[in-house]
Amino acid sequence: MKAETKEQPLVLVVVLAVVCALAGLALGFVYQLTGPSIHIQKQKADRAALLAVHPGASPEGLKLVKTEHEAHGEQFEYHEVYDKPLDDDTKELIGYACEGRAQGYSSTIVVTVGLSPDASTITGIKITAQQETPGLGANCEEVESDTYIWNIFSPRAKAQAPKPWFQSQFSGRSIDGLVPEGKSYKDVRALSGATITTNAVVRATLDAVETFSTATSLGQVDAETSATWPEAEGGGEE
Amino acid sequence: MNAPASREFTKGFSKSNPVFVLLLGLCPTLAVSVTVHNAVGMALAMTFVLVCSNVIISLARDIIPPKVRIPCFIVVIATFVTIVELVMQAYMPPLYKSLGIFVPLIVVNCIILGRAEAFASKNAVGASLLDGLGMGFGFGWALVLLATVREILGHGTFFGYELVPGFQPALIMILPPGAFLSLGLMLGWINWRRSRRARRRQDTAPPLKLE
Repeated sequence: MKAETKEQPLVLVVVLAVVCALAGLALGFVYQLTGPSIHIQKQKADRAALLAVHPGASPEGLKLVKTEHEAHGEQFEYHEVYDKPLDDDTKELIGYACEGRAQGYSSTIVVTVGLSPDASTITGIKITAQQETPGLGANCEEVESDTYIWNIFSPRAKAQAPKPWFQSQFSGRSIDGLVPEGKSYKDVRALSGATITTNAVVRATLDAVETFSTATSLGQVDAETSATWPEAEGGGEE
Repeated sequence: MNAPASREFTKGFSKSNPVFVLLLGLCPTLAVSVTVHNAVGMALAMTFVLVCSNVIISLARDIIPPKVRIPCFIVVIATFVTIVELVMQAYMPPLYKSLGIFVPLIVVNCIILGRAEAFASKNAVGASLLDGLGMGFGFGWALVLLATVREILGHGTFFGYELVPGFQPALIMILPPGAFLSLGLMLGWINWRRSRRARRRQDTAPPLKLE
């Protein structure tokens, strides 16, 4: 009896250790199986974002450039985007793409921004990460859909590519045109009920542009305008 | 606990439905039931974890000393949740993105730990498997029902397809208040029905006894 009570703590430790070791082993095995797939999915998502902001880009024409500049605690990177694969000699630079961040209502919004070769025009933006309120701020990724439930049964269903209405409004806009007007930005179609998210997306876009121009000294952003950009203010609404 | 096997499976659907009767796991229920798509994904992930952890815990129920059973259960559950997370990330990234934090939070979902502690650690493997399946599907139908109501009223869509053109969705339904409202009304209706049934049984039973 005495020996048993003395032994028991050891038994407990051994059982727990064995359970944990088995769990670790199982997880290692699953990770071996899924790891490559996860990596591919991440690359696919990154690539899709780059191609979304540069409609004319070749999927093989993306060149990653690392800079010495630091942004958000990381080394700043951007992509050179070409219209033809990188090994093609007739390829032409159609622009750059980089990432910008800004604090939204309930999350950090990460935006991939496409820029023209002189970094004066936005070719497109794509929100790659956000956790805003569903139905309000999360609508920044909303896709305008005209597919109704009976379209599944109807052969005459319109096959129209859905368009993210909020993000696509930035395509082709010049950076100088993104100026504040009161508490929001001029000529930006806002998300209803989500002023903070709307402004955060614009600020993330401008953040990308500004970081890019300081890192590469292309297309300078006026310091005076950047000082007046509306900040995310805590209000009742989002 | 010698109930027929079919009862172990069906009890999760109505008699001890985890959401509507036991009121367990309400946090993910409220949060994930915004769209039917999310609800189905969450329900499948939950069912997988429930079944696997129930089976493993039932198999190891004689080896694990009672003093460390809870940590062991948690480790087993967390392992399966991480497996689900990895698989989702690898093969279903959009679903993984939309479920967000609620996939890792399955670890602390009280339905799973509750079933491990209350059932799997005391019953044979077969019964535990059926219990896990039944509870998982019970959670699933409750979640899908709630999500159907919320998606139709809050998004104007079902499974991502628009139902009525020009319908102005009620934003409140996809926000937390909508979740509380719809779940509360459903629970109220279920309890009202149950108490009415109980009352009827009482009304008819005593006179017979008196005679």
